[in-house]
Amino acid sequence: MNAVLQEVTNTLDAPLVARQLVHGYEGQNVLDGVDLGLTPGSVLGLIGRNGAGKSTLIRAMLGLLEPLSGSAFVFGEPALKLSDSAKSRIAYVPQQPEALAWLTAAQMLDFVGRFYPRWDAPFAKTMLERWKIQPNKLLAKLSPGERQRVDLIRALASQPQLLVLVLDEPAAALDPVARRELLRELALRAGESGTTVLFSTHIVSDLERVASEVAFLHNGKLLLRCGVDDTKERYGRLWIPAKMTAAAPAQSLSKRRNEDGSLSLIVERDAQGHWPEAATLPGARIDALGLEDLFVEIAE
Amino acid sequence: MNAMPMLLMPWRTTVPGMRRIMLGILAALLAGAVYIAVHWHTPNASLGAAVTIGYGEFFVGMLLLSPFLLMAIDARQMRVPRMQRSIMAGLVFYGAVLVAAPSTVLGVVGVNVATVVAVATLGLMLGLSLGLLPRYFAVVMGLSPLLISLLRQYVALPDLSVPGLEIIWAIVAFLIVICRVCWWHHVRAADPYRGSFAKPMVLYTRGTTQVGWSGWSNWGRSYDVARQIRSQPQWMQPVAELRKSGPTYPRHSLRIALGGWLLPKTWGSICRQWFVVLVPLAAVIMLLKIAYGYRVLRVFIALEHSLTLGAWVWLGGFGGAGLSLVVVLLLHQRWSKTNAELPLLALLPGLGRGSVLIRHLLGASLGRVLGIQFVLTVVLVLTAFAKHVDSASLCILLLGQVAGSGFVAAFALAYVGGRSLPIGSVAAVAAACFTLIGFDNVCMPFFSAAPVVGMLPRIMLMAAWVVLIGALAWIGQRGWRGLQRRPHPFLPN
Repeated sequence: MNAVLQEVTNTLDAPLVARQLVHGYEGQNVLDGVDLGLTPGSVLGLIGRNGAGKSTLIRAMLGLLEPLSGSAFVFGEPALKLSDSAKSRIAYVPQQPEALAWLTAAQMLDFVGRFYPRWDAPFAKTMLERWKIQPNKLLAKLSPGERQRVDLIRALASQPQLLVLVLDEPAAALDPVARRELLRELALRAGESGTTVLFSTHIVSDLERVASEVAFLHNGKLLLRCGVDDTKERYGRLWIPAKMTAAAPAQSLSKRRNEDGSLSLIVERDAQGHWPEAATLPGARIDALGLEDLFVEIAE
Repeated sequence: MNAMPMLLMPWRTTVPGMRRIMLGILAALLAGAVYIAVHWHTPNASLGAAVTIGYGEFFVGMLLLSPFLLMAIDARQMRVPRMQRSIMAGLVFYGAVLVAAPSTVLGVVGVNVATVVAVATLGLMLGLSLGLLPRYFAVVMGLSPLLISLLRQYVALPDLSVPGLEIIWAIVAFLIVICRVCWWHHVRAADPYRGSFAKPMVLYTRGTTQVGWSGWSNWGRSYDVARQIRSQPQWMQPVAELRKSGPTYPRHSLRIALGGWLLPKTWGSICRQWFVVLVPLAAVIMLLKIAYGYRVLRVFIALEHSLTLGAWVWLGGFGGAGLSLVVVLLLHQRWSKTNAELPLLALLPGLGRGSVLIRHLLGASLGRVLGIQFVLTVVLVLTAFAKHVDSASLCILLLGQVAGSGFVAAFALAYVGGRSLPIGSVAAVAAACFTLIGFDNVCMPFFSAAPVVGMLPRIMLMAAWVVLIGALAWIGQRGWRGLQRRPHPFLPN
């Protein structure tokens, strides 16, 4: 992971880079020295429990808050001092969009569209029709799901192709059909236009559908980052009986002692695809984990 | 029916502070009524005592009893069995007790009990009606003296200056019937909180808290803009003027993005909103003309001649400081939300960077309000010269206007610069402004052409204004420093 980060941070036009980000609220650390970099064209799903620091990380990476320490860069520019050129290549949809409630959906798209040089007005119109949103209805009068859809249209119509599209909890207020359509759109953009996508979610099935990479954020720290396909059959839950716990491997992603004294550990295969030796101990048992199980095990 | 839920009803429908305030008002007015009954030795003493306690009962009806409707709506929506009966029984029980108790006290000190009970019940029902009936009922109540005097010219109305108890009870019965009808309607409405002019006042008071008439303790806190917009009728919704928006017009665009009072509106929208003010004003002037035969123009000329400088200062000062308060609260709300306009503005290309952006942002936030303040100041100064007032009055006037403008400028810098102060400080500065404007009127020729107080109080008043302006300058300077240090101004506080 560090190699990837090194590579990314050395690239001036890397879409998004965070270095040692630290932030907290009321004396409690929310981000604890997070390093994260995105390569152009990648789709990174940021996953973590509620309060893990996902939104704070995204906001800090985009310069929407001043971190206590560390730095973030967007297309090589400091996130807190972005140029208009960098801004025109970014689209951000917050978890519960509340902006410009006094405008209608059409007015908001018209207003925002004037600022983006490559604004796709026909796309915005088509999407409003497809998602059955009344263009002349005030945003304040739309349901939370409709409002999020309008904000997604706003983000996509600015055509952040070849650029970074940062979404935060993109599907939180969407119904299953709209969510599926959105994910298809994201996959299409990433695949065909090379749009870099960072999105945070706790719906693992969404992530498996579109993300090429996944990063686990837990208690303000990035526990794991890997390709989605790599996670399949790579991680496992190793159960070691109480009398054998002395032989437990030192390296594990998480370790939990059960009531009967036995140990449950999350371990990964080595470069040759072998489980740790402890898996062969008498009475030990190993179960390969899917992405959702892995998330649950790590987050517990 | 179990009596306990009925007896506990006021504790479940109102906050403790409101109950204390209401009981305090009732106790103070009861003391006043007793004083009138005991010490006034005129034939109107009984009526005076009854009207005084009736005024207290008005607050009981409005503040203590009308929130029962909120509980009834909740109980209905949650399908809680037998609750409606308890609520209605509680309403009748507490209404009766709170009329009977003060009436008994007044009866003991020699007031005619029948009169007191009738007037107190009328006060209670008027208060309850103000809470439960549509908002326009308050307007009708406010204009009722004018309407009655107008109607009297055409219809033989009973003489209410010597009220017969039958008339009072007839009005009470009428109010009970319409309150009951409104109650029934609101409890069964699919969405009783949906905004309209027919929505009763007590439903509005539930905006930020779950109980009635306690919303003012939350003033200035982040509120749901969407909910506020939804509560306005469609034709009152402001329509944004988008024609001059985009990167070429950053100031206009920022005003659109900040919304509220700063939102640039289309002419059609402006006309519709002024319609609400101008039509009732025209109606009142016409009623005045019909009732008293004044020529409209003469009314205005008489008004201009009769208003002293103090009255002008009062109008200008309150108007200006009130406007500043509106903008300060708007900026406070915009800069305290992380998911609303700030991220959009922070990432919107074309607004510029650094000092250019700051200039545009301050221009968008303050340009209009400071322009109005400037015009107000010019009008007041010209009026002062026209009325040949003394230099101390002119100085007080100018200090007040500077403070009004400084209020909005200082807090705008504090919010945008990330050096925001607690919302209580806004309330404190606003209260200081309004209080000093009140003192302006004491120290200025308000009711007469000449000042009514000596020089010392006026110097003290000027000193108080200077202290306030100094405090605002400190807040503003602190905000300005913060703004210089901030990488960009769209960071939440």
